[in-house]
Amino acid sequence: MPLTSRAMNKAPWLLLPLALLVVLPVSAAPDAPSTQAPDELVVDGKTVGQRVEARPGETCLVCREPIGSNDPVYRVQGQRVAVHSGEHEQTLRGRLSYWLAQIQPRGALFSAERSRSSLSRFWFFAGLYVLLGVIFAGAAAHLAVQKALPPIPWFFAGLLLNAGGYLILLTRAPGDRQSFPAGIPAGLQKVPRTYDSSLCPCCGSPLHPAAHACADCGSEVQPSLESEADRWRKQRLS
Amino acid sequence: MPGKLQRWLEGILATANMPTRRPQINAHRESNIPGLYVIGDLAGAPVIKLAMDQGVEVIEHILQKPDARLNDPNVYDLIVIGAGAAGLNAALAAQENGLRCLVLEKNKVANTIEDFPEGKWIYAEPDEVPPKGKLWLDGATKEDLIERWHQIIGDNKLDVRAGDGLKVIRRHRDGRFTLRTEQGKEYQGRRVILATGQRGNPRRLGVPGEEQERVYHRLYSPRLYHDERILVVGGGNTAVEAALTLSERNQVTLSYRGDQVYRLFKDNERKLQEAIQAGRIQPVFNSNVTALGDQEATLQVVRNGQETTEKIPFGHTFVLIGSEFPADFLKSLGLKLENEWTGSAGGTAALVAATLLGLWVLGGQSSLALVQQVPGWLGGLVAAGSFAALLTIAVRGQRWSWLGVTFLAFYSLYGIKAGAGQEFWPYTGWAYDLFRFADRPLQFWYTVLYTVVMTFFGLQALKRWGLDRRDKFQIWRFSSLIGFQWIFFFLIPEFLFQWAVEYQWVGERLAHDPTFAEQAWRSYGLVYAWPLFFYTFFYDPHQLWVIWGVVLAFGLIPLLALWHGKRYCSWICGCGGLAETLGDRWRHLAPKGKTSLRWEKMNLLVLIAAFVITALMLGRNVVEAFRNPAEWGIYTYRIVADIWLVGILPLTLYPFLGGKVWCRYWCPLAKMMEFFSRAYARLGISRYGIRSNEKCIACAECTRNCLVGIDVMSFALKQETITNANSSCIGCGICVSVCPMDVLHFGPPPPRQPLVQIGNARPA
Repeated sequence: MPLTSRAMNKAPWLLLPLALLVVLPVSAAPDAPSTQAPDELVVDGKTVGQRVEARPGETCLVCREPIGSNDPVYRVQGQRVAVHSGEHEQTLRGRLSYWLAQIQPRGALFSAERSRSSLSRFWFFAGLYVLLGVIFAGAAAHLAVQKALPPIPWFFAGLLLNAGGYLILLTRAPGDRQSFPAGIPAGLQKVPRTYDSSLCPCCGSPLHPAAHACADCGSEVQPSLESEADRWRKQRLS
Repeated sequence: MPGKLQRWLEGILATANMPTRRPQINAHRESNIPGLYVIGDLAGAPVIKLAMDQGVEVIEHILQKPDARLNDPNVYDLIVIGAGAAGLNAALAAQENGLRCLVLEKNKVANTIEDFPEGKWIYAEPDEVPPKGKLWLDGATKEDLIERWHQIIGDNKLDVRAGDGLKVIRRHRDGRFTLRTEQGKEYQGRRVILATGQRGNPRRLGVPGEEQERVYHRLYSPRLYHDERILVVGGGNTAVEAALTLSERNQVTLSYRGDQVYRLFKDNERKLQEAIQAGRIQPVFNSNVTALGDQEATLQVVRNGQETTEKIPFGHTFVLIGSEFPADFLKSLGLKLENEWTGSAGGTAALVAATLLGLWVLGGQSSLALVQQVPGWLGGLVAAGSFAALLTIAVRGQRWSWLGVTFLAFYSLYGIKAGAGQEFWPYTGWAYDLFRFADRPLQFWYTVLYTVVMTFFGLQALKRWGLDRRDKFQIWRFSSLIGFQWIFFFLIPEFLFQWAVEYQWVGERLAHDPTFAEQAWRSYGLVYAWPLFFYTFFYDPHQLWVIWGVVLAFGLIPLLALWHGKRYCSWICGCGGLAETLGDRWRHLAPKGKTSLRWEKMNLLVLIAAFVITALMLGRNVVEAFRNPAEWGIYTYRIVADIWLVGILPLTLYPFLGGKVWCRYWCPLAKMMEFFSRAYARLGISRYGIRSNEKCIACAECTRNCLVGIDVMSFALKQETITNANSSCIGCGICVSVCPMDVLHFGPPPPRQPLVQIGNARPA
């Protein structure tokens, strides 16, 4: 059986992306220009949404029943909010964030609660400071490794002091290169810590390179490494 | 009934214990009894050299204490229990530093090594790390090694009293210990080091006749047996090696309770098959020895589903079924074991309920008239009192209370985060807004907290696995996790996306399109793929997000899985990142065994649910019949998967089942990646795997530290490559880092053996 056929038989659900590409444009089509003069959704004196044209099959956010041709659909925080005019619209206006939460992610991981208006000047600079902090933290930790200095304290120096932390590090003398982190080898490999086994010429069993005899078949082997046991025996004899 | 329920739950929550059970110790190897230290095999030193290192390190710690030396002739500064590698090296280091020291040994010096077969080669791994302390170690036969150790004891005039085991330890209020031995002698010491090991207590069958002289629990000299009928009981390497050796000159029957042997060295497996085929060993799988008579053993054997009783004649029997972890002995000394469940589930539940009820009253949002009449301050008082009681009991060491504390913490955090007016009881309608300050909502502060926690614990983990072990792979991995959290899960959604819109970095058209500009939360979908980022395809996404969501979930993720399996979980993902960082200290508690592997099927259910609900949501405006199931499905998924399974339950269980609870059991994206990676492995095109060489010593450190509960050791023993076709490996590489023998390394699976021999050629 050809490879592609086998793959398809084993995982027919791989076709889902194609299905999504077909179905999604229906639900994700951009708003058509409204034929009516756009109304606004006003809550507590603030305009929170603009009216957009209804699509077939849309349901009222409050009662979950289909809306009529004269019922409004607003765009609020990027979401389409359909509602029956009258009592349900009043209900929506009275507790907008609650009803909006029904059509937004409100989970442990993802929650929708941001809009452009919430970013004040203070938070702009706070964000900039943090962004630069992260960049200088990474750069400082990397430089600390190059200079054989402990990277974690310098990571925090970069994070908190931004360029200042990095500049202080530039003025520091290199540390002891015999200790970490100078000893890290190039590449993503752990430092090798054990000797490779040698193989018994008679039975092929893996042996310690300092072994004199095969632990498996008992035949004598020539050690490729002098063990401390040998050194100790020599010392004792001498 | 409540007792049964509690025991059932404790059984689940202690599932990591069995293969690698240990006493509770801190970073300095001090137990729950101050002044009593545990080192060596009992404290998880997998090889002799590392056990010796522990002996020296614990002395270095003790020497820093102001009362390390007492100068009291009646009280030893230190009493070491156990004259093995760790105990002797500790005693030598103590004596060298002027501590008055005594060593008590139940049997003989180096008893575990003495029990090895004649001429057994002792390895001195890791080779490139010189042994610490005065005790000598290098590759040698056991006889050479023990001879040298006796000489060192004599040369240093170390006070070793062998043949008298510890019976009772009592700690006095002034910190002194009184030790009573089995022979009734009493010794006083300021500090005690327990280095008894756990391999000196062979496990017994507990059947009639086991006490006979012809029934052994060790094999010392196989050359003494010839032309005998020998029964070997066990299915591990020790039993199989004994059976193989004995089968050279005897007729051997191998009885094992399992249907096949799982944890054999590849070489042993091959030799066993050869011996069985040659008729030198008669295997009896699915068998349990029920009695050992004068001439024959009685076995209950299951053959073809039928249980029968069989009689096996024997001249000698070797029961080689492992060693017994001395749990009763340790408990009798007052030591607590890891993940040992204490306390009352019912009492904990009552205090948790009282805390929540108090908070309900405090919140003042109840519609019940009875509750409305109770003043809020009284509710606050009840909540504070109940929580304080719970915490106090927890601090005293009761594990159930800790579970209550962690549950309350994370139920509150995620229950409140469920949304304004949608908070879980008892926070409904009042708690969400409490955490809105400095003009930023709870979601923002939650992300700040998440990032800070991941950074703090991530750096700790980076130090533990990367810097301390000089392992560049782990340094990169933890840097990647912390970096992704900062950039993609904090700075971009909380700041950069909004700047991009504000300053029109994304273009004027997108910046003015409310579908794009006002849904900043979708920028989490830059890296989080559907179905983990479940809302990618609905709630009015901009087409750009739809296209990116499809490309990411069904293009890039499958491509990543080809080369890296499920490394997304251990290098990129924020959920996996928290598990790897905050959850790192509890990684050894990840459930092990077949049952826990079966639990992993739960994430298949979540994946199916995600597929079905997504399809319903996409089709609801086209097919009216989909509307109600879609609404119900999305509501249920949000509560069950997106709050309970991803938030409350896994975080609550971090300290008890390790960090990877969501990722391992419930994450649909992890399952989807596993499908892709498994398909690649089965097609033979996967570039991802963990391979083993022949040097495994069965220390089980890899298995113990696997955060997703894979029995890595069984793969290593058989030199079988770990892929996603045979495991749920996420490629964190901790097993590679922790192996003292450098057995494991990353590498693509070897090419598959051809199934059909072509032509007439035969393999050499």
